[in-house]
Amino acid sequence: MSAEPVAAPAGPLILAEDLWRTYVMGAEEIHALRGVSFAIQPNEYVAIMGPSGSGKSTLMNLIGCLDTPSKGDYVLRGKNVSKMNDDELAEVRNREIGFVFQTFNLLPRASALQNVELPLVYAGIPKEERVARAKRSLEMVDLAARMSHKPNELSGGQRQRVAIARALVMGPSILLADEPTGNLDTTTGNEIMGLFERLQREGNTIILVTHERDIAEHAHRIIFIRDGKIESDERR
Amino acid sequence: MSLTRRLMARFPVLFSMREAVALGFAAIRAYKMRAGLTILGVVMGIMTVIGMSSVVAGLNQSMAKQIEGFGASVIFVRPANPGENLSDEERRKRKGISLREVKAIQERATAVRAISPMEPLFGNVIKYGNETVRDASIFGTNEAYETVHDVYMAKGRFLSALDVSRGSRVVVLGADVADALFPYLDPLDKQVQIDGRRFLVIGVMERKGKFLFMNRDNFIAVPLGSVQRQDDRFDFILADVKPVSAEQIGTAVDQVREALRRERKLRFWQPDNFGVFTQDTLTDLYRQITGGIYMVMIAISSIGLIVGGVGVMNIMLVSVTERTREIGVRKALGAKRRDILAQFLTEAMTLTAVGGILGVAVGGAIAALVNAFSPFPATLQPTWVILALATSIGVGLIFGLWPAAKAARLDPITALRYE
Repeated sequence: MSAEPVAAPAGPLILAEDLWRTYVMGAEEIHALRGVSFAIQPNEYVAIMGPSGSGKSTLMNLIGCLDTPSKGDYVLRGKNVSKMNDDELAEVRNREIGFVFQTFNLLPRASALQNVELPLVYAGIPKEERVARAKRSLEMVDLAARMSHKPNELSGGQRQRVAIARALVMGPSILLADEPTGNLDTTTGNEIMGLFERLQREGNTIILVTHERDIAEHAHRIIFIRDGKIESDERR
Repeated sequence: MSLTRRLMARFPVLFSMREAVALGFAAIRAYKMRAGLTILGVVMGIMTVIGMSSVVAGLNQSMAKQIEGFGASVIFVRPANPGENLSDEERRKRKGISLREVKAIQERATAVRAISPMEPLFGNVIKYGNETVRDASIFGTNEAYETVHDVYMAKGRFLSALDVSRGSRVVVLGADVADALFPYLDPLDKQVQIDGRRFLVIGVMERKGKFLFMNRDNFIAVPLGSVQRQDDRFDFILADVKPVSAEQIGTAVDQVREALRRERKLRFWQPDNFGVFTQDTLTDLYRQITGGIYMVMIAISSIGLIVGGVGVMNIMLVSVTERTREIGVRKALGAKRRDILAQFLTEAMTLTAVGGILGVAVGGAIAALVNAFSPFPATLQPTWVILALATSIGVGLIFGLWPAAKAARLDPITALRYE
């Protein structure tokens, strides 16, 4: 396994083929996903929509390599992730996935800069390089001036931008955002959505998971999930 | 790839040790009370080790000095051996050696250079003018004492054979007794009173120094038989024996025993009803005692360390639960199991290391106080300090392992959803 990024092979960034995810609850088997297949190309801006209980969170966990499918194949940048163990998945998450959460999930005792540094720590990158890259990432979200602030000294929108800087710092293949505006007011939410659009124009691939239609509208493609299946997949 | 790069790739968290230690300190700061109570056991355990080892080491050093001062090759003849387990009745029956037995040893034991009988005469009062000394050890002895105990005279001379055979009323004073009776005068040729009888001071011994509660300068020697015994509990004579050479000490011990057994007509199956031993016996006994102290020390500190360790385990389990979400985030960002494990282990070890450092500080302070305000000498031992710190960190490692493993095993999805 090489530490250097390899040029993306020709073909889709994500290839999901007949993904099933089954949970066993006592004697009962619950199918959260029932054969989901799709492909996502580099630099796409995709929203995954669906009501609660539709299986969209399960799908997000699979896309984010937090979980593996019970059946089917998930190929990320030409690599089949489906059969990987915990530590291999951690490495893939570290290099390929940039998570943005609804509740920001910043470490409360660490400064903005230290929060952004965190993925670089787990990539084994030395201190000076970490600081330089974290600073560059914070500049990208216009927060370089606030890097020594703790999360509780920042507004909600600023916190989410720190989280986005943290998601971008490793130069991931996918920016995976789970209800990124769910904890923000409308104005701030729009600011964040504007930031996503800019990042997409700059070449990032963005996957947005939401249950809000007007947030999903920002994306260029909406995959609608219901009862563990893709109900619609529309490009706009 | 170089070794450091490979190591960095394998254990990234090791290279952010500073952050992990800082996190440990942050946890301590955030929960001062809880962390303080938690590491109290570790502090106590380490304090015990440092305090007691310092005292024992101090004792060892002064013991070694004393053994040199005693003159290593002296054989002690006593009613019983040190550490000998005797019933009260048996102890009462034991007799000191008689002058006849001293004579027998002198005649038969060829490896003996000199034998000095000593009659303890406690309870006598010594006076000069207005000055009185009551608590001195008075011994009636003979001229051989000088040879046996390598006595050096500060002034005058020791008892002579003639003094002893005539029963002259002369006395040799230890340095402390001389100072007490003659604060301003030269003691030589003065008449002191012992039980109202006058004795001429013929010599003052050189200062020998203190050893624990034993003051070897609070000593008075008079010719054997010149002073009446005042206390009937001490109705025996001791003898100290010098072999012809240090190498002959074993032979001399055997010969002394043989002579005494013959004098006392002991059958071959009967055990010795007297004690003949050397400095080595005392050293062995001393080692047994300090060995016992070490055992007690290890027992007390183990209890402290186990209590502290369980506390650390508890606080770490609480910490893992409280920070479930943080663990989820770290895992989502790419932390492997060993990263989380290393983080929580470092935190636990930081906690116990702080306890260890506090324990060393408190133990060192206790040792300094003991040194300053008690008769026991105490010196801080670098070996024990290092050992204690290593042990405290080890406690963090051992008791932090389960909570850390629990954290490392958490499923990222569940952990992220944890409220």
